[in-house]
Amino acid sequence: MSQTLTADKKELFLESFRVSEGISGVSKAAELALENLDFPTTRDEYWKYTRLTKILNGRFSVEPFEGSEEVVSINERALHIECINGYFQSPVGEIQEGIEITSVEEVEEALVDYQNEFFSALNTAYFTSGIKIKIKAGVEIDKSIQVNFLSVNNNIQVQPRIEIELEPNASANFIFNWHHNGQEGNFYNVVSELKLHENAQLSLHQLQAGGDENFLINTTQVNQQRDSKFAIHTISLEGKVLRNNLNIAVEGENCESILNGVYLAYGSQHFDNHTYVDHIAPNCYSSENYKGVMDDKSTAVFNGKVMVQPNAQKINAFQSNQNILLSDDATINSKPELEIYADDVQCSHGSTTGQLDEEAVFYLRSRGVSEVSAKKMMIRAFVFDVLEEIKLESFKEHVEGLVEEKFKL
Amino acid sequence: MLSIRNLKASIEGKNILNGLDLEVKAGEVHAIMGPNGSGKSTLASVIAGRSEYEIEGGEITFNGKDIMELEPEERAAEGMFLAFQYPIEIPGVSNINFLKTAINEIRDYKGLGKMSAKEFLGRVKEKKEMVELKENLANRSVNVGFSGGEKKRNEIFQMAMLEPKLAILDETDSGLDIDALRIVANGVNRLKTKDNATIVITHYQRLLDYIVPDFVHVLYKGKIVKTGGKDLALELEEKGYDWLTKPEKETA
Ligand SMILES: Nc1ncnc2c1ncn2[C@@H]1O[C@H](COP(=O)(O)OP(=O)(O)O)[C@@H](O)[C@H]1O
Ligand SMILES: [Mg+2]
Repeated sequence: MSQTLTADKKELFLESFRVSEGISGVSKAAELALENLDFPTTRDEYWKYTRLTKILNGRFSVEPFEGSEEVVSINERALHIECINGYFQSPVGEIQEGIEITSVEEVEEALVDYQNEFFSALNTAYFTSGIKIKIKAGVEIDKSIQVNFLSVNNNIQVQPRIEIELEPNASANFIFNWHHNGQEGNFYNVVSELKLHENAQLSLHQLQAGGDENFLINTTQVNQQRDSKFAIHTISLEGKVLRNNLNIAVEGENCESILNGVYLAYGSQHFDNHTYVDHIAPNCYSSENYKGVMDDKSTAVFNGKVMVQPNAQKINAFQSNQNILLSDDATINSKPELEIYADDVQCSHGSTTGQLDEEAVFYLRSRGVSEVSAKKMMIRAFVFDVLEEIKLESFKEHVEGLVEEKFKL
Repeated sequence: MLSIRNLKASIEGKNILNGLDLEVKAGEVHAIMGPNGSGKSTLASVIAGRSEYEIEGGEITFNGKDIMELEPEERAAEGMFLAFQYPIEIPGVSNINFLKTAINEIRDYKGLGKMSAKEFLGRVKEKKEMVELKENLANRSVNVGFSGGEKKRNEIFQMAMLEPKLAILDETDSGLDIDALRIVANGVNRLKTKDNATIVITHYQRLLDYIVPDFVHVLYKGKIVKTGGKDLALELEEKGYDWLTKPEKETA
């Protein structure tokens, strides 16, 4: 009974997406996959702690946008690309030689698993607009490339698709910035596919502050070839339901993968980070550090899986998730997972959840620091090591300010 | 300056302070001695405003002001300082930055503007030298990686930075070697004026050779059972506490 009900609801939900005519190729295949995929519910292990009913029951129209809005800048020197209502606008700023930006009209090859994942299929079938950014072999991009996601209408679907490819020996810093313009009820379903060829270096900095009345499903698929270095820093601050699916396939030897995250939630925010590092090749290093602070009735989920395949010898993999609950009503579901099929590896993982150290707060207050300042100091101190890993100074400073201001306490 | 009347406090249903009286005037040094568990640290915590303790009765006034309802930071702003028996480590919170916040929030409480960076750094330099705190310790996370002695010296450094009217030193001497003890005592003595006061909680007479008290109190089972001059400390050193804690036998 409830199955059919959900199936009916899925059909209704999909109606507002089936507006583009005559899709073909990979998108057509994704559309077919959607027919057979159920809308995710908490009965699915992958979505166990994240309720999507509000998305399922929503009707999200398509609102194409062309024009310009004031550019939101974290790093003024960056090359800015605005994505408004899910539609990419022309880049603002000088495009350094070696950067190639093209629009994606048709998906040629999908790295995301659209056969099995509903939201990847949804984006692959009906993405609002797509962009491909390629960094040519051997080119080091010294200015960062900042993509701003924002919308100017309410109750719309925002489904951009981004392909980033770094040719051998290329390096670049990216910023993905979810920015709130006051709009509500929007459903962001973003797919990014990042390809790192031999010896490429890519750092992606994500700032998720896209408004507390909006939904965000953000799927990032990373493929790493030998000697490449990838780092991702995800700072989650706003969202009604916010879910990051980060999948890294380490296909070549000698790679480095850094996954950092800070999530700060209050009110009834729900933040969910699912990460998956698949060590396929030997001699690699991965390190993951996520920290969260939850207040009020907010909930957070951390599910980090590290897979070491049989051939992936000499892997060093570390994973840590630490949480602080500021209120009795806040919740965290933390599950670090290691699955190891090789014998010569060094792996560790751990998860902790606690409260702010009351004794430390009293110590600071006894010196004259107000309770609010003392708690802010403690929260900043808690996430300090994650933020320290951010090498892009402008982004780090911007985020540090936001972290301080987050909690009213 | 500090006036405590009939103070009763408990924690987790256990009575710790059982009607304690204490009167401290400006310019005075008071020593509080007493066996382990008699309530010395509890008294210090209650004065500083720790909320875990239940106040069952009595009153505390500071410079004529009832402080029972004040938050710990307000008490600090009024001029109180507690050097902890066990200074806590706070990873990620810089010693210097937090002191800057403390000083400026206290100034704000008093309606004064922020202290200039120059004045602040000048004071840091001067006070650091006074307690012979090594260069890098001041800039590090609060007490992280400090030895026991360094932690105690850091307490006195903070006290020097904040220039309180009333300082309560809770066993600041324990775990210190004789050199460190001299440095700490020197620091305390140099901060002494006719307008401020010090309460020294200690186990050992030793510290009182350096910081000479005007009064010595013996705390036992949450009450002050005897008060005397500095000679009382010597007597306690010699005879222990038994003669005070079993008064029935004495009179029998
Ligand atoms: N947080 C606490 N919880 C429970 N009991 C406590 C706590 N703090 C102190 N006590 C008890 O109160 C009594 C007095 O302790 P304390 O004030 O530390 O004594 P002192 O400093 O004189 O050694 C002891 O019996 C101790 O066990
Ligand atoms: Mg004690």
